[in-house]
Amino acid sequence: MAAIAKPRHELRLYVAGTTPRSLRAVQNVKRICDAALPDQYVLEVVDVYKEPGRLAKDQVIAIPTLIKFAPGELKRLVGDLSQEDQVRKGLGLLAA
Amino acid sequence: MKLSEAKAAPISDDLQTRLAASESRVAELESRLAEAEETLHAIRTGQVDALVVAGPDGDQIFALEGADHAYRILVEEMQEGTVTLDQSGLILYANRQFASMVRLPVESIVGSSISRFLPPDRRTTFSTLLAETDGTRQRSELTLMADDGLRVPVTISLNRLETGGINTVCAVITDLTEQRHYEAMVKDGELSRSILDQAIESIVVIDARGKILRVSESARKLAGRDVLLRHFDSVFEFWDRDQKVDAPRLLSAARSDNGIRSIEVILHHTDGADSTLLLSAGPLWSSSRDLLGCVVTLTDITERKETEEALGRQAHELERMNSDLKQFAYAVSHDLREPIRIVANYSQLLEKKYKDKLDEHADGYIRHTVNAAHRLERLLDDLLAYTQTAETQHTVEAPLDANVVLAKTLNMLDTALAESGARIESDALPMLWVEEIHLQQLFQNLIANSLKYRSDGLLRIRITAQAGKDMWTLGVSDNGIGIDPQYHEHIFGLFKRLHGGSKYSGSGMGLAICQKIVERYQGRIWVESEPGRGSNFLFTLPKET
Repeated sequence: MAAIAKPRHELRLYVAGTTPRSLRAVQNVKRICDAALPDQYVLEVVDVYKEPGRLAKDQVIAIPTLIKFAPGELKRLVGDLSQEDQVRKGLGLLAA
Repeated sequence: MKLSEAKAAPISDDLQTRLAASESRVAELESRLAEAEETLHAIRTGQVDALVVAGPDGDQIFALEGADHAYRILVEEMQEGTVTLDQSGLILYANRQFASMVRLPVESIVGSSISRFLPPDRRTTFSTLLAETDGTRQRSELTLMADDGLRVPVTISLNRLETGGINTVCAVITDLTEQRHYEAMVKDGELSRSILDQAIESIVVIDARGKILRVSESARKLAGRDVLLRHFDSVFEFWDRDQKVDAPRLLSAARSDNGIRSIEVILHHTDGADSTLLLSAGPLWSSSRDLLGCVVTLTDITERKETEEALGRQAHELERMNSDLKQFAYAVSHDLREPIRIVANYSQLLEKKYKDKLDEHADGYIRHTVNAAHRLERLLDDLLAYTQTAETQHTVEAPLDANVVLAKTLNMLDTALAESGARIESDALPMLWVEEIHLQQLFQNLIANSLKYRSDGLLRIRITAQAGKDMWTLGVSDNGIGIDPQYHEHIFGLFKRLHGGSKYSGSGMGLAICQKIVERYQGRIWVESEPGRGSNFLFTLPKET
């Protein structure tokens, strides 16, 4: 084996159409993950206007919300994700 | 247990005071937590209309349902695709229509780069376009590549937008597939109309629901009225035996690739008349292999059909008559032979036994009877030969040396030739693809004719051969009495004799038999002659089988 694969990050980002914060959230999460987790994450972007039914399931009350399902315990991050350190901490990406 | 009840040990005043403060602080927090939970609960359960959020310019009110909600629905439901891109081409937002254009669920589109959906050779151009887009609208036509490889022609219009501190480009994408399709149809329209109108056949083009889209001029005449945009089944009623050939049948046949090839159908006209037509139907595919409709081609064969039927009836009738005639001729020639032979034999016996024993008259009567009986015998032999000429139908396997056949024939006629003192000359004759018996009959009948119809001087008979393109022309010419041109055709008929029985004997069947033989080999026979200048009988026979 070439290398032991790191656990894959499973992420879901809730956005609301084209609001600036939603757009920024998409941009930020892509930037952070592409830098720290290239090809090691799955990101699903859910637009609450297209699928309002999914809000209750993940208990989202604010948009944007990024949910990390794996690895480790479930973690929610609210806002446009522009505070990079906090996002990295939330996703468990701070250097050990 | 409440904190105030914990009085097990004496406590200092200071501690007492701090404890009280903490107690009231916890109570306050508890109450605020309860309030927050209630608020969250109220929001989560939909008990509020709007949220107030503090911003740099004071509080902002965010309506949960309102005017902009309607716009969002509009954006999601509209027929155009929309995407919001950042500077690098990253898709930050896409509506449902765009997702269906590129055939992917919308969740897996947001976060991808737009270049994923562009043909490789257009990616650089598009990046430049994106960078140059300012506040004014930019339009461009390009091809999107859907996730499954389908190519979708689109126009894309780009507009730069800067709100909330984020620099984006909004793109509205219009699918041109349908429009391209209609443009192509309009462009082809003129050409196809003139082709349709000049076609002799009737052509009807129907769409996938059976509506008539185009008709050729002759199809319009067939319908007897204007039929555009009417349903095929309300205009035409075609029957294939007892089955109706309607639009559903045509379309399902067209869909199954083979279509319909030239089936005979009957069209019932409103005036009660029927037409017979040949019907073909083929599919009309779109570039994406959807069945757009079908093309029905009709050829009116009513007249041809009627002529064919009349000819068929005539041929059948002729064949029946011919076969009756053959049977009759065979029966006559075959069945009459025996009684005639008896008449001939007994009259000869009478002649032998009673000649010079009766009176002069009786001798004359007996002689006439014997002659007549012999003539009748010969007539029947010839008639039998004639009826049998056409019956032998086996093919010739090897060519025959005509010189040999001529020599054999002359040998057979030896006595008659010697008596006539005729001088016979012959060209070198070719090899011929005929049966020996047939060639022999030809030579024998024609030479016998020359011997029979001779003039008073020395009889000269000449056999000639001349090569043509596909046929040899053979001739038997003499210096006999000749034939008046008015009888040149007449003489080949059955039982035709130009002269009475007394001077020239014969059954009148020789030339009829010759003609029948020659025609069997697709040749012909004719005569060149004038009275007093001899005759030249010519016939053709094939060079090869």
